[in-house]
Amino acid sequence: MDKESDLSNEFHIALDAVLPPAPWLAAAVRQHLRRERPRRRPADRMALRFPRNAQRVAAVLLLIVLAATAMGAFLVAHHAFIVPAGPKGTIEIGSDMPTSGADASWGLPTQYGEAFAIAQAGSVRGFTLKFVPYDDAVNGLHDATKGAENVQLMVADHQLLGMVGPFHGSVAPAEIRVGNAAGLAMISPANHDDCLTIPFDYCPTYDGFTPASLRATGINNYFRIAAADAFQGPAIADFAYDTLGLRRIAVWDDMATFGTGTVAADAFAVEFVKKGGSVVARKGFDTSTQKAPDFRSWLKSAKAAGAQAIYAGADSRTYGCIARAQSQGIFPADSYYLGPDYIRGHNYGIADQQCVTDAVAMANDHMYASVVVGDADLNPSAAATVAAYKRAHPDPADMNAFTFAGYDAAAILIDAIGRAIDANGGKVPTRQQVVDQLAQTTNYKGLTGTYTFNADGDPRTPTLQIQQDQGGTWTPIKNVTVAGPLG
Amino acid sequence: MAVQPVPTTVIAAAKDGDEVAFETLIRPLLEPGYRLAGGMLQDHQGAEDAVQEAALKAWRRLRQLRDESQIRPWFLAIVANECRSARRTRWSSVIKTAVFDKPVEVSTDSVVTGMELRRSLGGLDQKKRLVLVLRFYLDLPLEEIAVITQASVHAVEGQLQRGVHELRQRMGVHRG
Repeated sequence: MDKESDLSNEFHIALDAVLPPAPWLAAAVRQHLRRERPRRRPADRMALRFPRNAQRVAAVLLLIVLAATAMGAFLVAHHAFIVPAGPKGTIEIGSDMPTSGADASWGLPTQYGEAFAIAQAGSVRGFTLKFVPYDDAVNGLHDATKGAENVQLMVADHQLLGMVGPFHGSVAPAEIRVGNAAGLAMISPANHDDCLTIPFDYCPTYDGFTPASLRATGINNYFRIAAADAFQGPAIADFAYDTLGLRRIAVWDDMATFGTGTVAADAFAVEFVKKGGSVVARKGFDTSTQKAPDFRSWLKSAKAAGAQAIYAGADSRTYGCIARAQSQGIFPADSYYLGPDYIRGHNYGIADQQCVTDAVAMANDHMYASVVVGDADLNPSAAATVAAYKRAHPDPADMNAFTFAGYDAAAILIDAIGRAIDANGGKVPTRQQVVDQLAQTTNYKGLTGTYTFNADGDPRTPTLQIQQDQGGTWTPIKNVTVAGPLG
Repeated sequence: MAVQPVPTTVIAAAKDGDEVAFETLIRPLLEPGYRLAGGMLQDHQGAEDAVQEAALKAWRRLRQLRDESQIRPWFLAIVANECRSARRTRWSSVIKTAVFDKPVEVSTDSVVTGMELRRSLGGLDQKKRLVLVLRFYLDLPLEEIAVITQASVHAVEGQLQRGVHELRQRMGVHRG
C-alpha cells in the first residue's frame, strides 16, 4: 500500500481544490434547521403520540373531516383548479471575496453579511435562494486572476443570476471584463476606486483603464454601494461645516493625482465653499520623497489666515498625519484635523494606528476621517437586523466596516431579481433582465443608506461614515449622505 | 482531527429539544461533515446540501444516539447516507462536477494529479470511496471508520487495501 501520509497529502490537495472553505455553513445549517424542523421539540412529539386506539381513531376521523371541509371549500372557491404549492426552483447568488489567509479579515465578515441577507430572505417570488461564495485569495492575498476565474465559474453556472463583489478595487477590473461579456449583474459593497465607474482624465495613465474599456458590450452590468473616492471630500466637508461648525479651513494635498489625494482635496474645497465656508490656505506638497515635507511654514501661514482646521488630501503613506504632528505649537491641540479613509492607515480598519502614531502628541479625538460606506449601527431603522446578525455572529471578528454593506448589496440584488421575475411573468429571468432591474433600483432603504443608482452604477446619493479617533480606535460617529459631484 | 469530549449535559439538553444545545453540539461536526460530503460528491454545493439535511436528520434522530461519546461517527454516518441519496439522483451526478474542475490550461503537476485522483475516486463504488475519504481526507483512525461504516476494523483494512489498489489502477489508466 502507498505510504499513508503521501496518499493523505494527495487527497488533501485534490479535494481541497474543489472544496472552498465554508465558514458560513453553521449559519446556513441554523437557518435550515429553523425552517425545516418541527416547531415542537422531540420530547413534545413523544408526548403527543396517541397511545390508545380510541385517541388514534378520533384523531384520524377529525383529520378526515377537516381535510374534506377544507378541500370542499377550496374546490368551490377555485373551480377545482389546484395549483401545487412549493418552491419553483432555485436561483443562485454568487459572491467573490478574499476569504482565506490574511485577507480573510476583510472578506469573511463581508461575506457573512451577504450570507445573512440571503438566509433571511430564503426565497424570492417562490424561488429558493442559494448562496454560492468564492474565494479570490491566493496564498492569503486577493488576486485578480483568481477573481476572474471565479467569475468565469459563476458565468458557467446557469442557475446563478448575479454576484456580490468583489471586495478589492484591484480585483474589480478583471472581474468586470468577464462579467460584462456575460451580462452578469455585479454589485460590490466595498470598491471605491473612482475609475471603475467615473471617467476621470487620470484613469488611463494611473489605472490603465477607463469605465468604458472594462465594458466591452457597452452596457453597464456593474454597480456598487460603496461611495467612489470622489465623494469622500464632499462628505467630510458637509460634516465639517454642518456638525463641527467650521467656517475657515486650510487644505493641503499629497500631489498624488488620484482619489485620496488631490481629487479628494479639491472635492472637499469645492463642497466646503459651496456650503458657505472659506478655504483660507491651499497647497500641494511633494510627498514622493523619503523624508516627510516640512509643513510648518505653511501651517503658520494657514493659522495666520484664520484657519480653524486642516483638511489633508493624503494618506498614511504620504505623511497624512505628520502635518498634524508638526502643527503642535501652531494650532491648538483641540483644533480639528480631517482626511480621507486611508489617512488612518493602510489596513483600512479601526485598528489602524499609523495616523495615531504619526500625529504623536497631537493625536486626539479632534481627528476625523471619512469611510466609503455608511455605518449600520448609526441607523436606528437597522437596529433589529443588526441585532439579529450579532446574535448569529457573536464573535466581534465576524463584523467589519463592510459587513452590512455586504448585507445591503445582497439584499438589493435579491430585490432586483424579484422585479426581474415579475417582468418575466413569474418565470426565471434572464441575466440581462436582472441587470436591467438592478439599474432601476430606486430609493432602496438599506441598513447602510438609501440607494438609487445612476447610469454609471454608482449610488446617486451615497452614504459615508465619519470616524473619530477615540483613544487610538477609529470609531464611527456619524453617517453623511451626499449628492456628490456627479449626482 | 482531535475529538473534544462533549459535556453530557449538552447532549441531554439537546435530546430534550433544546435547539441552542443542539446547535452547540452539531457546530464542530459540520466541518468534518462538509469535508466528507465534499470528498464523496466532489461538489461543494452538494456537500453543503448534504450537511444541512444530515443536521436536520440528526436533530430528529438524536434520541437514537445511545453512546454519547460516538456522536461524531454517528453524525458522519448520517452524512454518508445523505451522500448516497444525493448520488442516486441524476442531477447531482451529471451536472455538478464539471463546474469545479479547474481549466486544463493551469496544468501544473499537482493540479493534474488532483484531477486524476478526483476522477478516479469518483469511479470507485461508494463503499470504497467512503473508506478512502474517511481515512485519507478526514484522517480518521480505523476504529472510527469501522463505527461509521458499521464494519469490523479488519473489514475496513481490507476495503482500504482494495480501494487504494483500484484507485491507483484507475489513475494509471487515466495517465495512459
